[in-house]
Order: sequence, then structure tokens, then C-alpha cells
Amino acid sequence: MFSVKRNMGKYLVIAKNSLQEYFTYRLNFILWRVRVVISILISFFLWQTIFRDRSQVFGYSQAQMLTYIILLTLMNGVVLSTRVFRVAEEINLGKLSNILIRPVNYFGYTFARDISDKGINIFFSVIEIMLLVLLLHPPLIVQTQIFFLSLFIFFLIMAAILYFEIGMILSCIGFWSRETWGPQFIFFILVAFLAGTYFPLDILPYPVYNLLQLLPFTYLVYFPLKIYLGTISYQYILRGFLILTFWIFTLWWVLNLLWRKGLKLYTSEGQ
Amino acid sequence: MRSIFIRKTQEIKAVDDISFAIDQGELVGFIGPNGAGKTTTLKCLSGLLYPSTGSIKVFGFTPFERKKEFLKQISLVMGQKNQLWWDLPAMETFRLNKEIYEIEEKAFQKTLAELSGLLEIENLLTVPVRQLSLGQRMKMELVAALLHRPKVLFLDEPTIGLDVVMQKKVRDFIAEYNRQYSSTILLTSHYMADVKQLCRRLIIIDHGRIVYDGDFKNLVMKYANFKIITVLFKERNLDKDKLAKIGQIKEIDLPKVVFAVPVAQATSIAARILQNLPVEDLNIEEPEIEEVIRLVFSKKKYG
Repeated sequence: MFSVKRNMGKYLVIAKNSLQEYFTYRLNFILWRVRVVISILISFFLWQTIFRDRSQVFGYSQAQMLTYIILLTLMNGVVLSTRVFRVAEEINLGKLSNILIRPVNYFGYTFARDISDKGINIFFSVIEIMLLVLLLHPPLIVQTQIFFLSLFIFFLIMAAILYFEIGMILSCIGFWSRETWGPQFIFFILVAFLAGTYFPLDILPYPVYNLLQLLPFTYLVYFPLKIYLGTISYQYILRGFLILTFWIFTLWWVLNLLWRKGLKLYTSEGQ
Repeated sequence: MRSIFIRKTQEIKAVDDISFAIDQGELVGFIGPNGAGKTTTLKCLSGLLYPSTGSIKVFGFTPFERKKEFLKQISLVMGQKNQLWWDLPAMETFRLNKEIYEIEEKAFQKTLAELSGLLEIENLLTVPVRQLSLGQRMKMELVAALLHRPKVLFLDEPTIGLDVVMQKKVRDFIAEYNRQYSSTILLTSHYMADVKQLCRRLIIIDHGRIVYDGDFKNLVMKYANFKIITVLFKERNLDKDKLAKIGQIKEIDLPKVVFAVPVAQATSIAARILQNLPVEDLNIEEPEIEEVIRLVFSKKKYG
């Protein structure tokens, strides 16, 4: 703690370099944004059609549902944008050595890289949301209560931390196996479904929904959005907070355990 | 704290219960056949690998613990690996290292100016790394690794893949750096020229064991107590049996003959050849270091 400013400097430069690196691959990035927008548009028009002849579906009004869908692009930026999955590759190619050999915390290093990733994605998602709202004029819910807004931001940060941990844990597979892409790919699909990036989770049958709330994924996307919408009881928020905190601490412990064990097996091979 | 680091001798224990002590400022060559454990040893010493058994100590630290105080005093450069941010100018990596190693701005500018001056790369600092040639990149790698003035520098094949001119430049730089900053350098290489020019002391390892540790000159005396006489004759019709009596023939492709003769008799034999045979040209040389090393491994008279 003796040199907070110094440490910040370290991570700022890492974030700045990552950002600069991004501009080398502008086209890749733009195409990625296009993909995000298209998937949002598909969901958007699908729900708009469903709401054409009724005012409520699964207990959601049209405004609530469309707000949920549009805010997904922001969630993609804040929570789901990460380059943490590259860590598996870095382990396998021995690039991890470059960081291990230096007096810098590897998790901090990776998180700083993610910050720039998130920053640029958030920047674009905000522009996209404004464009979508201007072009499509959807009925939207604008949360004005400071209480829900600040809780929303708090849970966004928690969700980002949770996703970072999950991503790092999956990347640890790299210490034991060269085949890391398969498990990661399955995980992406699982997350897309279980976190609520296609639809709000409470339209699922009650027993399934109940079970999902015990898993960490719910808290990545669905839970924060639900808080933004404000259609959630205090009791439910408290329960969610406890479950989420439990997962963040447990996964942090698991991650550190795996990391320590992994490093002992690390052969720094490759290239 | 300081006094711990400025000790004269650094005890370094390596794999397979081999241990060696290296003095501050020494430049030691580490050679051995492929797979002997050179790179593994360097990785263990720099804390990348966890030793499955036994322990390693480098100036009092256990490398694998990767204590900040330890990492700040070492550096590892691997000729086959890239430590720089590939898509960015090398300067960005340097800036990051400045922050990571907590180097003062003034010291950073000074070291950077010195190093880039020595390596003649001042005008390449803002070029993206991917556009640099292998040689230029290697120079940048060296700068990146030396900005924090490490006490101990591990160099794994620093000249691999470089052309002869660039090899020489990198070599000269390493020698100069070692002289100016008296930092301890442990170097592995396949190119004997590197070792010959740079290292007075040599450690040869094979199968994770030290088979020789000592002065470069002693090695030559011990394992290669002979000199090479290369003679170019004026004519091709010479009696091979007669030539064989002069000394042991290593190579014969008339009019060229290569003899291996005991050091003590080298001059007298040369004189005899010049007197009795039609000589166009004659050369007396030390045996090639490659050959000496080969002898070390073939004789297996370790120790």
C-alpha cells in the first residue's frame, strides 16, 4: 500500500497499451460490435412482434422487455467484454513467462487489460443504445430512483469481477491441457443462456428459475438488469447479494488454488 | 536490505544437485548439447519453473516464490521469445517496464539513452515491433530487459537466428554492458563464437549434471592438448604414408592437409614441413571450440 500511485501507474500503462493495441485491429473490433448490435436487433424485433397483440408477456410489459433487450448491449460491454480467455493461450504458448518474470501481479495485469477492453466496448455500446433509441423509438423504462441506479452500478461491478474469476478459472485449464478452446466454447453458450442474455430468466418455469438463482451465472446479466428495472423486492436483492458474495469469495479461493497448483506444473514451453 | 544484495558472491544452486557460485560481475557461459538442461536451469534460476525436488537459492531468494525484491534484480532474455508488445512501438513496452520496475523518470531516460546509443537503435524506438527485423527486435529485447539495471542477467541464446554481423554486434554489446555495469551474466548459446568472445568461465552441463566448470583456457588445455596445422602444398603428388609420419592427419584433400599435433611439438613440426616439402601456405591454429566440446562429450572423462 506504500505506493498506491505507483501501482496505479503500472496498471494505467497496461490499460493504455491494450487500448492502443486495439486500434491496430480496428476492423475486427467494428465487426465484433456489428455482431453485438445484430443479435440485439434480432431479440428486439422478436419481442416487438410478440407484444403486438398483447400488453403483457410473462409478467413483462413491452417497455420493460425492450429496455431489458436494449440494455443487454451495455451489459456486454461492462460485464462480458474480457480478454481473460486469452490467458489459456498465453499459458500454453509460454507467454505467461513474460509477466511472471516481472514484479507485477498477474491478475492485476490481466484485469487492467480488461479495463481497457471494457472501456472501449462501453463507449461504443452507449453510442449504439442512443442510435437504437433514436431510430426505433421503443417504449423504454428510464430508472430515475438513485437507490436502484446506484445498486445497479454496484452489481455491475460485482458481475464484472465474477465474470473475471470464472474466465480465469476456465483459463487455468491451460496448465493441464492444451485443448482449452472446447471447454471455453461450451461455457460461452452456457453463459449466454444461463445468464439471461437472450431473455429474462424469470420467464422460465419456476423450479428451473429457482435453481438458476443459486448458480453464479444469474448474477452476470439478469440480476443487475432486474435491479435497473426496479421490479424486484428488497428481500430478493438481499438474497441475491448474499449468493453473489458467496460465489465471488468461493471462486476467488478456487482460482488462487488452481493458479498456485498450475504454476507448479507450468513448463514455460512454446515458441 | 541493501547490504544483502551487494554481496560479493552469489550462491546459485541448480537442478540435479549441481551447484555453482558466481561472483558479482562475472560473465559465465553455459553450454551443453540440446536438451542438456541449459534453458531449464535458467528458467529455474529466474523462478519460472518449480523444481520438483530440491531447492534453489539465488542471492538468498528462492526464485519460485517470485518475491518482488528478487524479480527487480534479475532479467531473463530468451532469444526465441518475444517479450515486447508485438503491435506497439518498443517504446511502449519500455514505458510499461519503467512503471513495473518503478524506475525514476531521470534514471529511465539516462539508461534508455545509454543503451539505445550502444545498440544504435535511437530511431527505431517508435516503430511497431512487428515491423522490426529479427536483429533489431533482439536489440529492443535487450534494452527492455536491462532498463531496471538487473544485478543478474540470464541470456538464453541471445544471438539465435541472427546474421553474423548482428551476432557480433549483440556480442559486443553484452561484453560492453558487462564491463560498464559489472552485472552478473549467465549466458547459453549454440554459437561457440559467443562463448569464446564473451566468457572467461565456462560451465558445461550434460543430462542435468555439470561436467566441466572452470576457465575457458584450462578446458582447451585439458581436453585438446593439440594444435591444428593446415598446409597447402604446391603439388598434388605427395606420398600419403610419408605425410602420415609427420603427424596425425585429420583431413586430407590434396593439395590441402590438416594435421593435429601436440602443442609442444607444433613449431618444430611446422618447421620440418616447411623445410622438406613444397609448401604454398601454412597455418597453425588452436582447435575449434566446437571440437573441444565434442571431445569433452566423447571422452566422457568428466571432472
